[in-house]
Amino acid sequence: MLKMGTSQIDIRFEGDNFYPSLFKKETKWPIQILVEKGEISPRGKYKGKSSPYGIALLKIDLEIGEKKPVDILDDYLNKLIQYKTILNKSGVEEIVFDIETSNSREYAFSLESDMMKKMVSLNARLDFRGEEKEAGLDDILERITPFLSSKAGLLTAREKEKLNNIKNNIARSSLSIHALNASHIYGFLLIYVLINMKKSKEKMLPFETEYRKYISLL
Amino acid sequence: MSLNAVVLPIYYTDKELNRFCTGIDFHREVKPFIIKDARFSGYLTTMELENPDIGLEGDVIYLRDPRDYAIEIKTDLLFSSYI
Repeated sequence: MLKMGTSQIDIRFEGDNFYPSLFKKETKWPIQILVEKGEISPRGKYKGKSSPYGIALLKIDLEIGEKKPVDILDDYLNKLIQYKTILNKSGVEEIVFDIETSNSREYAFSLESDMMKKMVSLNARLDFRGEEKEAGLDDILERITPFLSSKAGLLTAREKEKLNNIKNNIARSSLSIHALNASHIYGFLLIYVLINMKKSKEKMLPFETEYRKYISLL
Repeated sequence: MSLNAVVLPIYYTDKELNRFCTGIDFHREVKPFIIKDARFSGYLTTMELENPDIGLEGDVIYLRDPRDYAIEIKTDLLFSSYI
């Protein structure tokens, strides 16, 4: 899983006649073989059967301060161009550069025409994703705590009691939710608080069930 | 917030799907199989897409076009066979 402030680059190699072990042997790269063409597939539609394709993964993890993902992309495009014979020999038909970053400074980048030409010549594709931040549910609930103290003047005693009831209900009815997708937090919490504001403690709706409904309606 | 009797797939992020996986990284080790199987079955050709959203309705995998949520396909792929 992607840590905060890091980038993750995978290069995925695929092909209907791709033999990852041959590719690994020839390149000497630390390639992870997900499935070898013709071998028993470990998962998916062909699980337990002969795989009709091969997939391999080259993991390149970065910490901030090292090279930018786009520079790594260029480095590996150059290396792969040199390995074109090996790519063909081992049956690679498609290359996917899968870039995921939680560093928003890396969201803006441009691909030079030279890089795009290299990608086309390799039949390579770029999947880029800016990782959405998540907020821990426990953290969110903890932020409420100061406003429940007798000294906090923002809320009335009645409102504090209500907020405390809602907070406890969320904690009690969200057993398998530990984090919320940041882009959903504001919308869902507003709705959840609003619909439970006038309900008694016993009749409050379970947080997890309502959250899943909310997500399904997006 | 009521769904009544309508059954809808729930779409998840890779991080959320990762929580269904034990000892295996969903994005790196599971998703490539789903995408490849989907492509092999022709679903991605229909959608003209390489990287669809992944949704579940029970064990059944749905694919959705992230550019247009109205475009979704119910597949014959079962999530349990991937994890």
